[in-house]
Amino acid sequence: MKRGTIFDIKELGLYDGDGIRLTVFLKGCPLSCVWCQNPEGPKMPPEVFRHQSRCKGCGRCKLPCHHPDCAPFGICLHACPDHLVGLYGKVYTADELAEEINGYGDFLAYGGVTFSGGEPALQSEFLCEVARQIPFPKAMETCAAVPTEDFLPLALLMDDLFVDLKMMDEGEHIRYTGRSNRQILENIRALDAAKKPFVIRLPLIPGITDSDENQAAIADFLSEMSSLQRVELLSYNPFTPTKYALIGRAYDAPIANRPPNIRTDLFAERGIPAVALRLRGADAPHSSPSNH
Amino acid sequence: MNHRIQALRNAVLAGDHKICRSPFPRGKEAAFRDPALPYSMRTAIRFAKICDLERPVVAKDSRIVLQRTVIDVPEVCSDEEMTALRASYFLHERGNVSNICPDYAGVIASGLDAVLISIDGKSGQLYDALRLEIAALYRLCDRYSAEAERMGNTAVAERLSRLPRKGAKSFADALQLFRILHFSIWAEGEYHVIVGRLDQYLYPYLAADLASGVLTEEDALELLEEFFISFNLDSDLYPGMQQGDDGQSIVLGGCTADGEDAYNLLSQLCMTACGNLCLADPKINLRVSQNTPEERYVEATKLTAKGLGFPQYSNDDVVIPGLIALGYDPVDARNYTVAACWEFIIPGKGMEIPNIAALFFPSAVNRALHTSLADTPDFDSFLDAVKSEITAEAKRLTETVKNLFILPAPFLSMLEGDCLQTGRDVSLGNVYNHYGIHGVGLSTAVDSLAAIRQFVFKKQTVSPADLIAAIDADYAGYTDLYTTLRYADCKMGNGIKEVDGLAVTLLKTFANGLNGIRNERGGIFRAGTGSAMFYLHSDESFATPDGKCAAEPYGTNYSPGLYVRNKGPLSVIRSFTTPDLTKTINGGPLTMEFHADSFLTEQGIRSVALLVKVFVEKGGHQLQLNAVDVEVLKDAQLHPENYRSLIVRVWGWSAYFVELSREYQDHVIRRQEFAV
Repeated sequence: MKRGTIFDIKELGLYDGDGIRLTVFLKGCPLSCVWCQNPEGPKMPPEVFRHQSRCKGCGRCKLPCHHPDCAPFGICLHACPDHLVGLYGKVYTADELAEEINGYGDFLAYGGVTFSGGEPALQSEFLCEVARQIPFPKAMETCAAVPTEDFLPLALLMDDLFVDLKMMDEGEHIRYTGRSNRQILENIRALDAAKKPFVIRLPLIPGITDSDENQAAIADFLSEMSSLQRVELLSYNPFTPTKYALIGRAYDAPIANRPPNIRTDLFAERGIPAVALRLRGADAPHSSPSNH
Repeated sequence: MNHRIQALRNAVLAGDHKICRSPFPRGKEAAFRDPALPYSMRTAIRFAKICDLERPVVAKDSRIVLQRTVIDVPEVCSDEEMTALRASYFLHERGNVSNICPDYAGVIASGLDAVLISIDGKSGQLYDALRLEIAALYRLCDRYSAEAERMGNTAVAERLSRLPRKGAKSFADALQLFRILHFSIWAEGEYHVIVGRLDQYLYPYLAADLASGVLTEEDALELLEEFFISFNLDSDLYPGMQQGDDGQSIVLGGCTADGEDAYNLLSQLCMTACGNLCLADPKINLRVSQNTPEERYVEATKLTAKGLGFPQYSNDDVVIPGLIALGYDPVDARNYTVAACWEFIIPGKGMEIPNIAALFFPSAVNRALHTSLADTPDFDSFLDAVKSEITAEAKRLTETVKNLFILPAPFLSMLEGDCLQTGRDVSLGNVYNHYGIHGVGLSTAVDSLAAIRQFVFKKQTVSPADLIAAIDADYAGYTDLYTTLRYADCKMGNGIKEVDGLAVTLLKTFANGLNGIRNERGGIFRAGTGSAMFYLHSDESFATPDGKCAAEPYGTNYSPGLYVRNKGPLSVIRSFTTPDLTKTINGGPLTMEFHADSFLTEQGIRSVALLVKVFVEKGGHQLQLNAVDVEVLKDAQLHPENYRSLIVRVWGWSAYFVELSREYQDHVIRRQEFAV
C-alpha cells in the first residue's frame, strides 16, 4: 500500500471549498514560492519544529534518547516538558488517511475534504488511493507543477479543483517560484481538454504577481478555456513569517509595501467571471491606509 | 433601520434617556414596610408608590412608550427584617420571584378591566393587592396619555388611555401592552423577567394588521425596532450578576403545540430587527431541530457575525423529549422557553428555580483523589469512587434547599397559571415547581479523569502519591508533571471516544443522583450543564489532575477546558454531542469562540451555519457561538493564560492567538480597529 506524508489536518477550513471543509495538507511541493504561506510544506520528509520563543533552554531535548522516531533528527521529540518540539509531517498509509477523513463523515456530508499542501499532486498515486475510498465531495488546491500523468488522474477524481496560476512570464516564474510554468500551463490545458471544470486562483502578491501585465496575460491565456468556472484573485495575507521561525528559516520575500492591485476588470473584459477574495488579513495595511 | 430608529438607538446608547431619572425618595419606604401588613400588600403599595413617582416621558414621534425614571425599587422589608427572614428561611438570591416567564397573551388580548371584572367581589390578599396595583398602573398610563397629548402625540395619548383597560387591537397595541406589563413586573420587584415566545403570542396581531392593510412589513419592522430599543432603556436598573444579566431573552421558532414548525414572519422580523440594531437586549434564542432549513442557520449566523453572542440555539429534538421524560406535559414541553441564561422553562406555568444550586464535578474528582486513589487497584474502581462522590453531593445539595420563602408577586401572579382563579400567589407554587442544579466544570473533571487513567493506571508513569502531592502544592515544584498533564492530548473536545465516554458517565451519574428526589414543593430536581458565574467565582478552586492550577477558572458552561488546545471545532462538536443530553436538560450550552473574521465571506458564514446544523443533528442540546472582538484580543494579550483556546484563522490555516508573535497580534488588533 502507498504511503504519504501529511503535515496537518485542519477542521473547518473557511476558504477551501463549499460547506464544512476538512483540509488535509500534504507535505512536499515542487515550487518554492518566495511568499509561501506554509513553509513547512515544500520539503516532503518530516521536519522538526521548535517554538523557540517559549523555550526555557533546559536542554533536555538535546540529551541522547532511544526513541526510534527521534533517531533521524538528532533531537528528542518527546523530552520537552513544554511540548515545544514536534514534527511537521506524519506518514500515513492510504487506508489510514481515508479512515481518518471518513471519521468526519457526519460533517463532510455538509461539505467535504480538501487536499492542500504543499502540493497534493506530488503524492498523486497515494492520494488517488485515498480519494477512491472517500464517498464525500473532494476538492484539491494545487499548483499543478507536476507531470500531467501524475496530475490528471488525481484531478479527475476531484469534485472541485482550485488551480493556482501565479505568473505568465516564464522567466519571472522561475525567479519567484524556482521553476518554469510550462508544466502548469500544460496541465491547465489538459484539464480543459478533458472538460474537467476548474477554478483558477491567482494570489495577488504586491510587486510580484499583481501587475496589470501579468493579470492581462493570465486572462488572455484563460480566455479560450471552456471548462474554467471562474478566476479568484486572492488578496495576499502578510502574516506568514511566524511559521518560518518555527522551522528556523528566515522570511525575506520582496513583497511591495502596499495593498495588491486587483484587476477583476481585465478578466471580465475577456468574458471570464472573476472575483476578488479579500481573505483574512487582506485588509490590514502593510503601512498606512493612505497608500490606497 | 430608518433615520428615526437610528436616532432613537443612538440616543439610548448615549444614555440620553437617563436624565429624567431620580432615586426613590428617602424615608418614603415606611409606607410599605409596615410589619402589620402582609407582604403582598406591601408589594402592592410599593408598586403604587413607584407608579405615582414615575415621570411620564413621551416624545412627539414616539410610538412605544414607558421607561423607568425611578431608579431604585427599595425592599419591602427593612434590613433587620430581611436578616431575620434569611435566618428562618432559605431565600433564593434576592428573595423575589426571578427567572420566570409569564404568560402575557391573555392580558394583552383582554386588558386589565377584564382582570378586575374576573376578581370583582373576591376577597383575599392577592386580589386586594392586584386591585391596588392595577389602579396605580391606570393612573400612570393616564398621566402618560396626558403627557402625550401635551406633546401633540395623539396616537400615544389615545393608546395609553384605552389600551391597559381594554387590551390590544393591533400589533402596535400588543407591543405597547407587553411593554406596560413587562415594566410593571420589574417595578413590582421581580427580576429576570423573561420575554419568551414573542413571535408566537404576538404573531396573530401582526398577521391581522398585515391582512387588513393597517401595517406593511416595513412598518412592522420599524415598530419592532422601536420596541426592541425599549428593552435597553431600563436594563441598567435591573438587578443581575453583571450588567446585561437581565433575563430579557426571547425565544424564536421551535414548534407549535402540535409539533409543527412555528417559525413565522414575526420570527424573521425579530431576527432582522436585532441584526439591524446590534444592541445587547433583547437576547435571542433560536429553537431549532433536525427539520430546520439551512437558510435559517445562515440568517442566524449572520447575527452571530455581528459579535453580539446570540442567537443561542436550543435543539427541540433533545429538549422536548428531555422535558417529557422529566414529567412535563408534552404540550407544555413543546412550548418551552429559555430563562435568563439557558435553563429551559415553561411560560406561565412555572415557579421553577432552575439555578438553585451547583454541583462541581471537579470537586467530586478531587475528593475521590484524596480518599481513594492510593488504594484503588484499577481505574474503574477509582471512577466508581468519583461516581459515589457525585451521587452523594447531588443528594446533599437537594437537602440544602429546604424551607424556601419567596416574596409575593401579585402582578406577576395575574399572568401565571391559575393564580387569578385560586387567589394563590405564584411565589407559593405553580404547575411546575422543579429546581435545577447546574453542573460546573464538567470538562475539567473529564480531563482530570482521563489524565489519571492514562498516567496513573495505563502508563503508570505517575504515582498516586506524587499526583496528590502535586495537586496539594498547586503544582509548585512539579513542573514536569504539570506540563505532562496539561499538554496531554486526552482532553474533552478532541473527539476521543474513551475520553468523551467519561463525560457520559459523569452526566449520567449526576442525573441519576437527582432522580426520584422531590423538593418540598412537590417538584423534582433537574440536572444541568450550566456553570453560571461559578466557573469564575467559587470557593471550590484547587489544582486539578488535568494540569489546571487553582487560580485558573473552569470552562464556561458545557465547554472545553479554558487552556485546552483542541484539534478543532469539528472535534469539539463531536465530543460535546456524545453524551445523551436529554438526561441533563436543565440547560447549559456548549460555547464556541470564532474569530470575527471567520464570518467575512458568505462561504465562512455558510460553513459556521452548517456546523450548527450538524451539532443539532448529532444531538447537541444547546449552542452559543461568539465572534470574538478586539477587546477580548487585547485582554488576551494581557492575560494570555486565560485565552489559550482562542483561535484566529488566517487564510487556510489557524493559529492560537496567544502563540502568535506580538507583532502579529498587534496586526490583528489594528485590523479590528479599522473594521466597520
